[in-house]
Amino acid sequence: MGLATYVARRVLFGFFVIIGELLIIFYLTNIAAPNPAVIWAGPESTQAQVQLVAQTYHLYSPWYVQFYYYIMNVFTGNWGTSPLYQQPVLSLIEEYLPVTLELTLIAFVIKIGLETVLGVVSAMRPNGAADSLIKVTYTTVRSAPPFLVALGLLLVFAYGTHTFPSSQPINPILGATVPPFQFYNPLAGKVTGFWLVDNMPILNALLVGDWAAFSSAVAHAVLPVVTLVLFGFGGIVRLVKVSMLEVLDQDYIRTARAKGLRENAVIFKHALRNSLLPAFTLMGVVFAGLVAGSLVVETVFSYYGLGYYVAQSLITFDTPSLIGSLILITVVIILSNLVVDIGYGFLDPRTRVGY
Amino acid sequence: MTETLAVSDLWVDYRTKSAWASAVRGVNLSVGAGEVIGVVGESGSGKSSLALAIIKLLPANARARGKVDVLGKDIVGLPSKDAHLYRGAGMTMIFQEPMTSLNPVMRVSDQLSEAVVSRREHHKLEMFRSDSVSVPRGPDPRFSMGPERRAPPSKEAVEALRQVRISDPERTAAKYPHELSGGERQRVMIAMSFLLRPRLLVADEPTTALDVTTQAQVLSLLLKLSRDEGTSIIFVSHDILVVGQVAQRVAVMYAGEVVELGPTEAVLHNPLHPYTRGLIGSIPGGFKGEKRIEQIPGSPPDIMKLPSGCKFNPRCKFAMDRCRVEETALKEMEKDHFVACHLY
Repeated sequence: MGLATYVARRVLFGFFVIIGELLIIFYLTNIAAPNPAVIWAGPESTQAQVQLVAQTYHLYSPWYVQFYYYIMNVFTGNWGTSPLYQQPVLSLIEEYLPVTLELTLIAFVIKIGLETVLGVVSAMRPNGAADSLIKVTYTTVRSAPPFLVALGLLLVFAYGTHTFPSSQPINPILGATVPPFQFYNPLAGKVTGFWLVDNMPILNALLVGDWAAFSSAVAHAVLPVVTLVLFGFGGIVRLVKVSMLEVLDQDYIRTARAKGLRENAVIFKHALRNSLLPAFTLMGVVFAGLVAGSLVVETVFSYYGLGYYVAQSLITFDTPSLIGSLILITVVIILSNLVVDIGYGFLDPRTRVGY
Repeated sequence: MTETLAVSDLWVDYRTKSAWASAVRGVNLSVGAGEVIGVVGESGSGKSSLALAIIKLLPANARARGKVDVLGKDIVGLPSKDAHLYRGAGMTMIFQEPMTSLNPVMRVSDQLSEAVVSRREHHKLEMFRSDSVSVPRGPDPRFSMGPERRAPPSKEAVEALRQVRISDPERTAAKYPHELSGGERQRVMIAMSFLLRPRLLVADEPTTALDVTTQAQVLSLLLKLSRDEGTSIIFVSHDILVVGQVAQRVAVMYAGEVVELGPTEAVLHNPLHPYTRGLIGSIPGGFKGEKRIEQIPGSPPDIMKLPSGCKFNPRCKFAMDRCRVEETALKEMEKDHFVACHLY
């Protein structure tokens, strides 16, 4: 089976996951607010307006009929309108998703890099000074709930020392003046915006060369990123350490040493790649965890991304926004798992046969 | 000319909960250039520990005491960060288990090319230039400055695969270890040794995991390496017959000591030590057409609870009172044929 068939199968599988997930969310939101017409129409709406909203959204029908209408609309690109923002859900997602993607990707890269290095360091001298220090650190950090870590960071670095800003993805004044990144698109044959990227505060500022906006966006991202990095910190450290110790005992490491390779070459060329394999399988889960963690982190830091948007829509019974953004989060997680599984095949040739 | 390897009074101890347990107990052994020497013994006799101590690859819970002179330099006290200087083109090792001795995530050609690069690096070192070490036969890599030397490592790797008689070496080089059979992997390991052109090769049961036909091929390849490159080989095995086919001299180990050492012919046809006789007697099918399998009673001693006197005395049918109290030492019975036994 080729790679294309494999990907096609996984995409089809992902499609069914999304349908199943939609069913569950739809049912649950229906229990939470069976007839949200009053909420959606607003507190000062007349009876006629509530009627209109209810009819537009088929709110008098059973939930599975509503589900049928929703599914049909989702595939035609109509994800509904957010009653809270009075904007189409799809354009809201376009605005909020890139912010979260940027934040979680930065946190992901830092987290994986840092934890891997710490894992290797602990494995070099098990129970040595460095290993013990690392152990104490991650046990402490891991035992603290993420919202508490976020509040602690806010207290110390925002309200205490004023080192970093406490909320928002970027200084609102700078954010309003920075232009969206545009480039000559050879497919469209004209200058267009870069979809998704022009809504990423850091990357967009970097691409248009607005350094004031860039440094503001970076400073605003520091505390949320640190919180996300510390969220579940230590799992990969331990995994890398254990598998590194295991790999260093393997015959092929003795072969590499017998070849006369330097210790550095033995560890970084032969041992590291093998000991990263178990950690790599976890990458998809870690990324999914960060996306889930962004809900808490973005709420605490008022970092206007998808997590914030989901939290708001939960509180305000903004069902179209909630369902829409959950679909998107599912898509992101399915894609990241697919990328991890394909990447694993490149890292470990033994599993490529399975495609 | 110095010997390739001179082991004197080598002890290997393993850390246990309460104390150090010695797996190798005062072994003396020397190997000349181009010589093939067999080390035979049961499992637990300390032969693998001896092999690992020679190449300085003992596990972290073990220590070596005594002297292991490789190319005229004692490596026991050498800091482990410098050990790589003596491995590679100095000495290398082939392991028992071909299925796990190659890195699963690297192509065969990359793993072999590393050996080429390692050899070229090593040959720049002073100790491989000095005249104290000489290679008796075969092309001397120190002076071959021709196109061979400048060939890209991957090309040399393919050439080495051809040398070890792997069919379609180009395709095999591009494969990963899991795509090869056990015999092919062991031949890749030997190809690695061909590329390193080591002065000393430690082969720890290299044929044990292979079937008989592959075994014969691997043995002849090892002999070819010794013949072509003047590599000394320490061939560790539990199988005295296999050792008899390749080695010029045989050392028989029991409970961490060498109990008999001599030319292969002499040891196989005129075994002196009761343990060696037992080993030969227990060959199935009857070596030299004898009719019954004779087994050695009992089992090898626990290195934590060694008997006093001769370590073999509880299993020996000739044991005398003296054997239970007095330690044995190697005595030369015939020319170059040593035995450690109170019978003589």
